[in-house]
Amino acid sequence: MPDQRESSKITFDKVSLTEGKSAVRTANVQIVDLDRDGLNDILVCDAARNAVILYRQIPGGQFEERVLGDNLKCPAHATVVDLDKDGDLDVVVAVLGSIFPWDELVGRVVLLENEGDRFTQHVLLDDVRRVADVQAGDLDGDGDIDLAVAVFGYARGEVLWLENLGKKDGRWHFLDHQLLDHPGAIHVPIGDLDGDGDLDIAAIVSQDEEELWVFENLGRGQFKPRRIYASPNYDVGSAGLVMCDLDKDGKADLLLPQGDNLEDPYAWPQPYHGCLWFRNLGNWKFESKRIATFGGTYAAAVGDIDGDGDLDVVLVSLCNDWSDPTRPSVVWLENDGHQNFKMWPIDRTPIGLITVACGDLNNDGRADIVAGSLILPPVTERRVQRITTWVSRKGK
Amino acid sequence: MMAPIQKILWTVVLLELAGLGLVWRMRARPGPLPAVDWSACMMEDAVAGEIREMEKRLQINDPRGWAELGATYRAFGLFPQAEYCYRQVDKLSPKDRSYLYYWAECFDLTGQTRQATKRYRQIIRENLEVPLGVRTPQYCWLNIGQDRLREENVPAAIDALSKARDLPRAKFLLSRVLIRSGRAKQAISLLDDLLRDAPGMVEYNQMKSWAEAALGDQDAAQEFYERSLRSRQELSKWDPTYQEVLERRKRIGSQSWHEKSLQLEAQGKLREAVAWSRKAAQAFGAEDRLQQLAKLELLTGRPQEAIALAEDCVRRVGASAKTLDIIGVASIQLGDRARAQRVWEQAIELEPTPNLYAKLAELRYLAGDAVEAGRYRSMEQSQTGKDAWLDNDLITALDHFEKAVALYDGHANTWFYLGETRRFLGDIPGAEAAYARCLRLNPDHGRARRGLERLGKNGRK
Repeated sequence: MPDQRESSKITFDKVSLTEGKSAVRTANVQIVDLDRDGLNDILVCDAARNAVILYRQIPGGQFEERVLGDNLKCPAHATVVDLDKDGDLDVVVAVLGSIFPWDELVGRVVLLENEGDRFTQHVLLDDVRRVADVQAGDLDGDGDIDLAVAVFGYARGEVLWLENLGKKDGRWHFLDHQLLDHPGAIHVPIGDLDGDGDLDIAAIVSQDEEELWVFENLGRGQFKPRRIYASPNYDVGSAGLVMCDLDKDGKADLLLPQGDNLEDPYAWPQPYHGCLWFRNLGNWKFESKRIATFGGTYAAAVGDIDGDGDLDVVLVSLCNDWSDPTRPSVVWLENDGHQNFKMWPIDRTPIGLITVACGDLNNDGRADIVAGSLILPPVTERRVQRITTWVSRKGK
Repeated sequence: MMAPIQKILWTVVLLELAGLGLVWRMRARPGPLPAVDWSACMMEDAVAGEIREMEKRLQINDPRGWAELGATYRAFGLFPQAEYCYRQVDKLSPKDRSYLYYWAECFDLTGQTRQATKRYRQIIRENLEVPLGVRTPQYCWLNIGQDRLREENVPAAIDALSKARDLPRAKFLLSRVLIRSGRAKQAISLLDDLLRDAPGMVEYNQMKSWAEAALGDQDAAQEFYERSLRSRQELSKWDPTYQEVLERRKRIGSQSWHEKSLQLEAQGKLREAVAWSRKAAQAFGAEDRLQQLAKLELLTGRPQEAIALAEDCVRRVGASAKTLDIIGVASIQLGDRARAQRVWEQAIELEPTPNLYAKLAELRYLAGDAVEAGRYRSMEQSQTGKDAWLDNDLITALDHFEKAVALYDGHANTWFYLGETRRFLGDIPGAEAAYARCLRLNPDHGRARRGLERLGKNGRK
């Protein structure tokens, strides 16, 4: 039986997907219908099992586990896309190579090519530093799917785009182009930021820089870099980047969760942690607005949690004062329809949440939540869970 | 108007009151410690147990006891409790200023920058030399500068950082802020100073590259960017007091048992080392502890046990080259070469090291497979060359890359690094040939293409 959590007018049914044998090191979760059977599944990058795992939803709200790819050292993010355009969904994986800060050339981009009964691994990029994200889209307008890559590294890193040159003799060919030579790139979401019909790239650069970059697509594989935000607070801890049209005005906005405090295992929430909304005003102008102050914010997801037609935001906290058991680890920001947000706590456990996703798990038209914890020694695995779902339904 | 005698009397009364206040402040018994919910804490039970014992042993009028407890709380993330301890030291021993810096750090760690700055300024005013020697006031300016940045007050940050210019970290941070403020020229002068003392420092070269780019000199930017790639010398992000925190963590809880095992191993006392290692791993099954125990089992002639432990480690935190290597070595001891080859091949996929390639080459050689042995020896040379390259030892790197391509000429990345090395050493035709060879093997090698382009560009100059 699911546990129940009340939050504002919403009741959440809480269920944990446990495994029990491995350490709790979930790097990324997503809600996606990978097998296209009409039921959303949960795609997980597990940095303890070094695997990309699908929790396939079967009728009755149950999940069955399927390992899509293993021997992937610390997969940080998986992007679902029909790369080979054969009608089924493939998975492109950003492989960190080391969960701990390290500057060696251990990163990779690996394709898990869907061949029906199995996923075949192809290394698309190697001999680079730790890769934190890879996103897919036709970046040069030639009809095939290219990739944007965040090479986080540590002291050194870069943002790349990989030009798809096709598959010949069973081997994929991608040509790498450098967009930025900064370390600490976490996410590189792709979308049409200027409404000109082609795909632009955004990148959040954390570590010591704390900068938000966009790369305007000029066509034919040419990009113009634009820095749209640079925090003078080099400790702010940018932790991810979400592209979404939060105000539904037809222009893609950006959400920036801030609160990465992983430098020390016993880190505390800071007054500047929370979430910024970069509202796209058009013509490459963005207006930033703080929509939440929430200690240790590490990830954000967007969905219509209360089913009122506007987009709400869910935030999770990784590093916090967990010695205070009353602190929430997951909250949602209720949108009043005019992008004024009110924060509601959802839960206090599990703690150490590094990733969150929204999507409809029970086909009721409202967004549900899935989140994952990541804990590293010497911190203990008390009050953590690999993966937890909160399925929303109307409250009393 | 007050008569002189009245003035004297009032002064005496006020002085007495002040004296009484001081005596009361000094003798006041400190209030209770902020409560800790030990069941919610993230530290292991052994650590919590030791801290609770320290609490019990504390003499509440002993400032040194408070300082010690404060330092322990601080090391394990109980910052409000640590701050409370330093407050008690301040009450009990106000003339002792050795705790002020740590007290300020507690405020910093909990985001109370104003409170932290107050203590740092006190240290600066009194020109104290604890805990960081004569540079203590400069570290205070550095921290004040960082606090102002956390408050997004850039002018105040520049002012504070400018007062800590003997500290490389402060100078570096100042250069970063100056570039952002459109003062790249000033930043370059600071970076040149830093590079004189540490020419290989990754961050200095990288920042210099960005400063040059900001001033529009793309060639200089490229030069310093490339230098930043060929170094492993990284600037510490930490205040020197953080080392004290790390040392304290090693002395408490199961980490102290793990450390003891390492010491005993270094002394050759392997049996005793195994016992402490086992105790540490059972208390907290972290990867390094399981690996240490497995390694000790191997060294004491128990390969089966080593394999079981390494497999447990893989189940728990995933495979790593180091853990798989233990399984490989143990498999050889047990005569299972096929398994050793399998796990070492898996290991090089995770982290290619010269040592692993050498072992694989030896196995293939023993199996009579000279071709595959040669390929692995080539990869061993290539990886050794890359290590030298990353340390900017280009002459050594060149030697290894050339040996690598002589042993096996089908590895595109080796040709790429050979091209890069020859370019940096000024061998333009040699670099061109190596890049071309790389691109024949892998036409999608973007870095080799860019290397060739740079060659053309520099050749025209």
